[in-house]
Amino acid sequence: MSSPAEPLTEKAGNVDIRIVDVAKEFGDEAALYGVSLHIRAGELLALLGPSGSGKTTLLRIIAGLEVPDRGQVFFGEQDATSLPVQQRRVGFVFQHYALFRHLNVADNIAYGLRARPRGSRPAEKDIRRRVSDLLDLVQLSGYERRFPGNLSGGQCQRVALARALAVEPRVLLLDEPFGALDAKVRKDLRGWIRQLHQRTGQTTIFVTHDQDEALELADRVAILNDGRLEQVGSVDDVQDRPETPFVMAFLGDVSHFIAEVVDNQLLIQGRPVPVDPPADLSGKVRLYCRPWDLRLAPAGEGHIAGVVTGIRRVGSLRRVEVTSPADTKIEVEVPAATDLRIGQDIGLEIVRGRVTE
Amino acid sequence: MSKALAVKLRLKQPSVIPGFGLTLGYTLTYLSLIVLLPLAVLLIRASEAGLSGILAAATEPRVAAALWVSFGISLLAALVASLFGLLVAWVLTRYDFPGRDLVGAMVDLPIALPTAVAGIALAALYAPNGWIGGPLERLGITVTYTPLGIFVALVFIGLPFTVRTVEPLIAEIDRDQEEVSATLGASRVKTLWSVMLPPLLPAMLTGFALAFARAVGEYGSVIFIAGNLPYVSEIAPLLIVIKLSEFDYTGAIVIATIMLAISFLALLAINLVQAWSRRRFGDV
Repeated sequence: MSSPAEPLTEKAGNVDIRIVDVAKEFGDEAALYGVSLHIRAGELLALLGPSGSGKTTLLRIIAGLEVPDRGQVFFGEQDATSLPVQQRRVGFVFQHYALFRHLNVADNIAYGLRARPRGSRPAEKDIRRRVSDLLDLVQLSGYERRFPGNLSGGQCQRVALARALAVEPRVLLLDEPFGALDAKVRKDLRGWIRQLHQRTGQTTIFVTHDQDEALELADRVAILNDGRLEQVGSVDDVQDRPETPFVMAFLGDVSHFIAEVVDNQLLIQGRPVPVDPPADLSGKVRLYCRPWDLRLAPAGEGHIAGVVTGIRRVGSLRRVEVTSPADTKIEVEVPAATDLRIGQDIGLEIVRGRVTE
Repeated sequence: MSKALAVKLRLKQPSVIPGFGLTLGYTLTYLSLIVLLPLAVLLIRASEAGLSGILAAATEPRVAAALWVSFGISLLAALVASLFGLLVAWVLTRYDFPGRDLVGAMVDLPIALPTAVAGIALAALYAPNGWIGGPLERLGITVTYTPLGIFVALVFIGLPFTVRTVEPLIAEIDRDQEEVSATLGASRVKTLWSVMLPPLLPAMLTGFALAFARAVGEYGSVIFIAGNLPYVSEIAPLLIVIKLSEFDYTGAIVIATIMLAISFLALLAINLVQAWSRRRFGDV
């Protein structure tokens, strides 16, 4: 983005948001069971989880589009739990844009300002200036008179963003904002939202089921599963120090092995593994490894024996699928130059890993 | 139509489903036999009276009064039926309540009912000693044997058209749009007025046109409740029947032709407004 837009850098409206023990049940799915979460003012937070994990429900509760069965939502010091959606001053962007098809781009963006009661409504010329500033910001100057039907998906999503920003929201809420777009547009829009956030410092929460999207875009990630919060942390935290097996598995390929702790030493099939187990564990434990936590060894060596059943090129590396005698498939990342063929007997050596249970 | 000619005239677009010649031929034959031919006969017979004859008939006070009653009240009734129709369609599509399907089925009854039966039922109900007519009479409002009676009958028969045309569109309204309007701070009234009603306008106009056309041609239900007083509550179709019973065929045909012309112009106007509203509010 090249053009500066001063009116958007007002951070006065930015507040932190506290969600305290919020629960919501629908009878079937997408429910929440006692979720507490603190979103700091000015941060870009991703709500990440598989479909049905309750992430969209949580976003809608923050917006006031759903009423929680229990728990509270605070906007700064204000208890917003029973504040109607119209008075929350949130900017909500839907996956399918939800543009008003009978209004042109300029009228769509101006909608929230014109909807204000007469006393607090800005003058028409201020509205027009704000619309043109926002169009600059979303790089759609000159599109004022177009109707949503004549815009591409990416353009529609940017108009929806401008419309949400027009009301100077206290928090910007994005529900799967890239879900309906193709890969190229998605990538552009991601980078653009990142820049927008850096410039405006607008508190932003977005929902996604795509871990790459969450990790690339967010300051912090909150991972939900089955209506419960699994882990909240920085992008590095959730990737390098996953707190639960679900987080570990959800954030990428992971293999797990049964290991044994004897005298504070981790063993697989009697051979020591260079991973320190937590002090409070003994007996049978689970060891989780990413594809880059493993190394290939000659057949008969290493911790695990297996057969090469698949080889793929991924960027500068090679992904090797090794099938163990127990028929579990293990993914290993090796340099592309490694000489391998399908059906070859091979050993696996564990270099790193995480122990639980 | 020969293939070569069709290609030459660029009438035929390549298509997966063949049958352009067959369907166009059928359409033209059907329209000619069922619609154009009777209308042509009407116009030919009317032209025997000459333009001056038609004008003289149209300006005859009793005929002019009847045309005024017919078209004026039809317009009002179609307008009211459109508003009620919107309300009924709204309730039937947006809310779930016990007996909804039953109410939905009842909406179509005015179309299925023989119109004379509807007229007798309405006349009995709104008569000064009827269930509704009685209390209204005490308030000083007489329905039967007045233009008000015609209005009631025409709203009754117009309602199914206005309900059925907007119903599918209300079902299609996107919940996201209402919710986004609310997050932007719009009140419920503002959301209803600015977000939900505009896309319904083209369909409401279609419903209005259908109800209006039906009302102009309505005969059976009106004559029982209208009282048919010349200059006051006599509708043009009744006047045509009266002329016919007096063997004044030319007189009847002239009135019919005038009705046809006015109806055609009115529907054309509605269609133009509709085309405009579709461009403005989207064909959704």
